[in-house]
Amino acid sequence: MADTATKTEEAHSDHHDDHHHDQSFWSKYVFSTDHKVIGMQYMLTGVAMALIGGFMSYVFRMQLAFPDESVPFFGRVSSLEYNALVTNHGTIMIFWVAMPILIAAFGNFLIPLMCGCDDMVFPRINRLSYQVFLLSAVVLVISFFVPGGGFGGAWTAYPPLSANAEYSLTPMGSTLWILAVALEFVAFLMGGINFITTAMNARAKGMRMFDIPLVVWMIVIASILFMISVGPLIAGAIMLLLDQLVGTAFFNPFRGGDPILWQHLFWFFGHPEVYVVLLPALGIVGEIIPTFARKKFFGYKLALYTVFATGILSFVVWAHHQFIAGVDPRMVHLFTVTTLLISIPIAELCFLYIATLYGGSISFKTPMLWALAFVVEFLIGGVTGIHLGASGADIYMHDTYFVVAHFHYTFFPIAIIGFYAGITFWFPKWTGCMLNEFWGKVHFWLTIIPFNCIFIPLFILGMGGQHRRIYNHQHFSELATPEYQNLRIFATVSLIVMLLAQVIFFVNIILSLRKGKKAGKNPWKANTLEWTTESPPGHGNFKELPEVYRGPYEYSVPGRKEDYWPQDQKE
Amino acid sequence: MSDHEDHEHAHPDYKKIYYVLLVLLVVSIFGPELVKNIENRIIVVTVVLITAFVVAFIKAGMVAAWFMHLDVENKIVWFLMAICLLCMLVFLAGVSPDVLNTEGDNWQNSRKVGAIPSKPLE
Amino acid sequence: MSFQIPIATSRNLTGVPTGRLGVWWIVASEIVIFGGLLAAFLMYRLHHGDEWAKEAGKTNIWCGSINTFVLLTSSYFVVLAHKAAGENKLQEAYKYIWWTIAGGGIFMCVKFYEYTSKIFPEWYYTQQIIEEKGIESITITTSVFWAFYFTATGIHGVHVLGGMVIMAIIAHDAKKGKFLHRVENIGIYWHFVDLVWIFLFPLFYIASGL
Repeated sequence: MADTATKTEEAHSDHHDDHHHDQSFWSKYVFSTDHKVIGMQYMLTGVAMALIGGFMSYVFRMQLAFPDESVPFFGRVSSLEYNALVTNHGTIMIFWVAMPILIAAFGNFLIPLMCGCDDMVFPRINRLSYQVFLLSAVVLVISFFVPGGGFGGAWTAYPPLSANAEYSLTPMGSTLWILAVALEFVAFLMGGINFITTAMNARAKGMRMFDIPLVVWMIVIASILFMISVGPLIAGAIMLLLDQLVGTAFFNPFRGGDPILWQHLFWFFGHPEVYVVLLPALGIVGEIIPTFARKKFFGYKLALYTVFATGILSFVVWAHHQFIAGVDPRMVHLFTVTTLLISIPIAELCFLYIATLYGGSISFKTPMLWALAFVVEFLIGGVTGIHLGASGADIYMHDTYFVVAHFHYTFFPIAIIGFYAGITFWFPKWTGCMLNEFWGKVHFWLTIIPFNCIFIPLFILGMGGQHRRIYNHQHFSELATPEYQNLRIFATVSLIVMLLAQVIFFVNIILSLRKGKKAGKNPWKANTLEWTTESPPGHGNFKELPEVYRGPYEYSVPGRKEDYWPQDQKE
Repeated sequence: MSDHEDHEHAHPDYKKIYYVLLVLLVVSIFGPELVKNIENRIIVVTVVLITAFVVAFIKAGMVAAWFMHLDVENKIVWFLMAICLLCMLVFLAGVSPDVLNTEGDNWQNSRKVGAIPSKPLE
Repeated sequence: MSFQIPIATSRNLTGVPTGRLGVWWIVASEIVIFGGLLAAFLMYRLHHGDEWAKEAGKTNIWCGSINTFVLLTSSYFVVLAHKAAGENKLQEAYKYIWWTIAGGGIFMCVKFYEYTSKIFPEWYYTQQIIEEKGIESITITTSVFWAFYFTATGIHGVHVLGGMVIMAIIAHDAKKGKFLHRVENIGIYWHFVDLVWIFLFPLFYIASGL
């Protein structure tokens, strides 16, 4: 059987070599089934959506800092518009930025390359998944411009606010919003099936379970978590859609429904979703740290078991988002315990990263800076989570800016720092050009410092009791003090500095593509399989499909001349 | 390449399985019908639970095991299905205390908790 | 447009062929979708007890039973099609797949009757009978029970329709001996649709006594 397998593989690769020339622009970049192109499409769409989401945050932060004044490039913000902006900022940043960039873009690009195969196992489903995703993004953007404006019931879409147009005042916006989210789920279900099946079935010869690079593991586990957790929410989305459009009463307490059910359906997905986007970012960091510390990853298997534990625990913590929603007090105790428990595996992973650094010969290249920043900033996010996970403290903190600051300290490292770490690390492989180190570092510091300046004031404001859904704090005398207002202005100015600093990144990319150094096959001297092929990899990825002889993190092995040992080298 | 290989497993006698499934279907239709007019609540509940739901699980198990070939499939698939079902049980366990809670149905402020004072507070 | 199936697709590390593994993952994602819906229904059903038992008594148990029978039979046919495809009897496989599709068709016809007799009783009964028996038109907005009834059976019906379309395509290929492994894959999906019905049937139709 193995013999026939090799033969088919050989026959295939012969065919591959003479197969692709003269493809038109459309079939090469738009309707391609090639995983690298699809990954790039996801990446560009995600970045475009990030710009929209970033612009939204600028508008509503301006409203908070300078209430009821006309915002440059937007105009005056009404309370309805404010709600729509906040809602769609959250939705976009999670579903259209973190998910496509971290899972879909990096997953598509890395899984076949790191597993040593020529493409995803279902390339056409992969293409379809991107097309559905693009459609979902278009539907969401359209929803801002329909009569009544975009949906403004928060990204959690609690009924009855989201279920009845007479409450939400956005009859079309809320329907399109649910439709967009549902389409996005379908896209990621298809993508996830592809990732999981590829990593399970199509790994290179010799690659055993524990030779798979961490980031592939993490993306696969994230896909599994997503797939299992999203089911009830898809059912719930259909129910909510029927409530909106047809007038059923699934979540209407006046007619026998139960709004708490939606909260459960939502958070049963919503909490594992945090780990769905966290794990790929942790994986990216887990690739970068050993490469730039030139050390074997400390406790590779332990890290995997920790991630398994996180995955399992992530399914039993969801109700900590509902402590004050009127859920059963006995369950609240249970969920407090599980919530505090889940910080253990995540803390353990951070310790493993630090232990990997210990005694290594660290070089602070840009990707490494981002990776270290991830660990530090995520730690702050995790530690502040303890306050919110404990039900007693949460009763005070719930729905204040403390919560906002807390989850931005987790999501910003995940979505933005994780993205920059990954893109600066794999940019040479993706395009064949090196990024400029100096401007990369300038961009890093101009992002990280303002980021902290935005959210540390929000912690203080939150502990002062500032509620997160107020659009003009001047209406509340206790919150309208000049001390608080100065903190808000400080956060807003920091946000503008941070957003402007991103221009450096884009300019850096364009200049590096034009004039950057050629990267060569393996600029970072890393071990995993994607570094053994050309940069950028051609169609079919490898000239000869590689074979794997060892784990992915064999750095500085005693007795070897070089301090790295690629997975596909026999000796 | 493995097209032939995975068909090597012997096919079970599908006809027999099919007939057993039909018998179970008849049981599940007539079981609840038979006890429809019995007064004793315990008997009714037991019979309906067994004929409707236990039989449904047996039928589902038979279809999964022999029609979907889970009996000879790689254990990983079986494991996967079990995890999905388990997660649904977790969901049910976590949510039912809230949804099954009848306190607050047709809510009236009979104890005047947080009642609005007739006179505005000073 | 030429499309080359990548080498990755032919690899098979777990021993489960890639296509079949993909279908299993689809089934897994469907389990949680239906699982969430049915778990929600179950909790509401227990919450509302007697009130909903009365409503559940109004579902058409004979339609439900016929449909269970039809789906079980079509499941039997699709497994025979898989067996025939494994033995390379193309014509037989083609025949059995079409019998399965016919089963799906009968299922949808019964479903059509069931829905319309609920929503438009005047189509099937004279005005006199309607008044004598007090039959009322029941729609998705009548109560939450009926909302669940139409939603769950409706989503299931969409799966049946989708399966029928895919099977027609596969039958077309199987006749020429192409993609024979897909016969088994669609079979797994079809059995899953059958499984969902096996649980919908007691939940909505026969357990009205509880």
